[in-house]
Amino acid sequence: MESAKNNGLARCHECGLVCRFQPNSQCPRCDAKLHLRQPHSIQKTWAYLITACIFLIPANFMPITLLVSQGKATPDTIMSGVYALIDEGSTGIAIIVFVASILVPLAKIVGIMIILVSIHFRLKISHKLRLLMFKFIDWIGRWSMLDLFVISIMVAVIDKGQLLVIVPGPAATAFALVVLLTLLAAKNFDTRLMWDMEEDNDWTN
Amino acid sequence: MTMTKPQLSACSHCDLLIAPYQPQRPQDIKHSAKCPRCGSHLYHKAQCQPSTILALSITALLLLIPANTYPLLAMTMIGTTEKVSLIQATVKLYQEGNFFIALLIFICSTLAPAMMLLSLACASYLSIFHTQSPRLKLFLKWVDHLSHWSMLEVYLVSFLVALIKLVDIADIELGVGLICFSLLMVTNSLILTLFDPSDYWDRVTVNGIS
Repeated sequence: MESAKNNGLARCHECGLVCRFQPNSQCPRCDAKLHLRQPHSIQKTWAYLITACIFLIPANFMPITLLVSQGKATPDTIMSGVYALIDEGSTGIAIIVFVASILVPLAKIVGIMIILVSIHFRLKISHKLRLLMFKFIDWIGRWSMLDLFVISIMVAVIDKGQLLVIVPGPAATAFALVVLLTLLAAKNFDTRLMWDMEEDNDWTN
Repeated sequence: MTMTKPQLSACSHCDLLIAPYQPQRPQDIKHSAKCPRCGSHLYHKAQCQPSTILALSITALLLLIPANTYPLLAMTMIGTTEKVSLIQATVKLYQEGNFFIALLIFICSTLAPAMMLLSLACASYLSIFHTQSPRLKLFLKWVDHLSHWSMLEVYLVSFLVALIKLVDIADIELGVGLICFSLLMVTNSLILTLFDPSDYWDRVTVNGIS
């Protein structure tokens, strides 16, 4: 069981062709620049995650929508929106919104951080489990866009001028940034780095 | 630039070097394979021709137009009726001054799916008729990058969530746009299941090797 890297081979990140690696060489099939691993993968992932962490605070505590009715504005945060849904009796939808807008962004940031820390300190965590966790994080990340789409539909539909208007609040931009940054963090993380450190050890764990 | 062994492959998730599988009998040909080390999906041999993908992506592109421009729903509230299409929903956000969110939503719900389907249609066309074309490589790369940002299925679920929020406060009538959008999502999912990028890449001629 040997990796392509140990044999001086690189898998092209664009087309998947395996070819001999030389510094600054191009893939013979698709002309993309060849890399053994994504350059600066860990640094970039950390940078995106830390920025996402910072934006997570305004995203959760500032109002995400403002309901303006006859000159009176009622602010709504993500969490108060979830409570409102429970009060209306749609618990199922409340769970979907809670998972997509609060749990997923947080779990994504914490999950990728755990993986990065475990690589840094060479912790003995099952590789398969970590990869499974990363794949799950990668797949579920796009569902955080749900709340933004809902806001865009609500804003478009409820527009009665002076009577009743819904306006996106400052948290909406912060939330959009959190979603974007966590997507980029997952995209920039090279899963092969997880397997590199225990190349010589038993791989079955 | 020299290639070592053309059939050698590596796992995209753990970089394990994998020897080519050469079945003795035709019935031994496997349609999919998993990495023995990390369990990742290695490949699935295309169960359809590029012409099928071409037909499906043209269908999806045609559906994209009414899905974006026809009203998704009509809502009657305080005496007036508001009809909203997907494009209008994005434009309204932009008019409210939320340029960044409007742009992000426009990319994920309209631009990325449209560009992805267009690139895929072009790539399929070129891989049938002009495998030598340098544009084939370009389109294939675009398909890969754009598919990350195409979020049609998320939009459809969001629409249902918004519908449940609205149904208590107003009279809702579903529009033609929603039917087209649902069909578009189904076609798009079908394309993503059938499309196998490695099959397309294998058709690309490699420099120096015939």
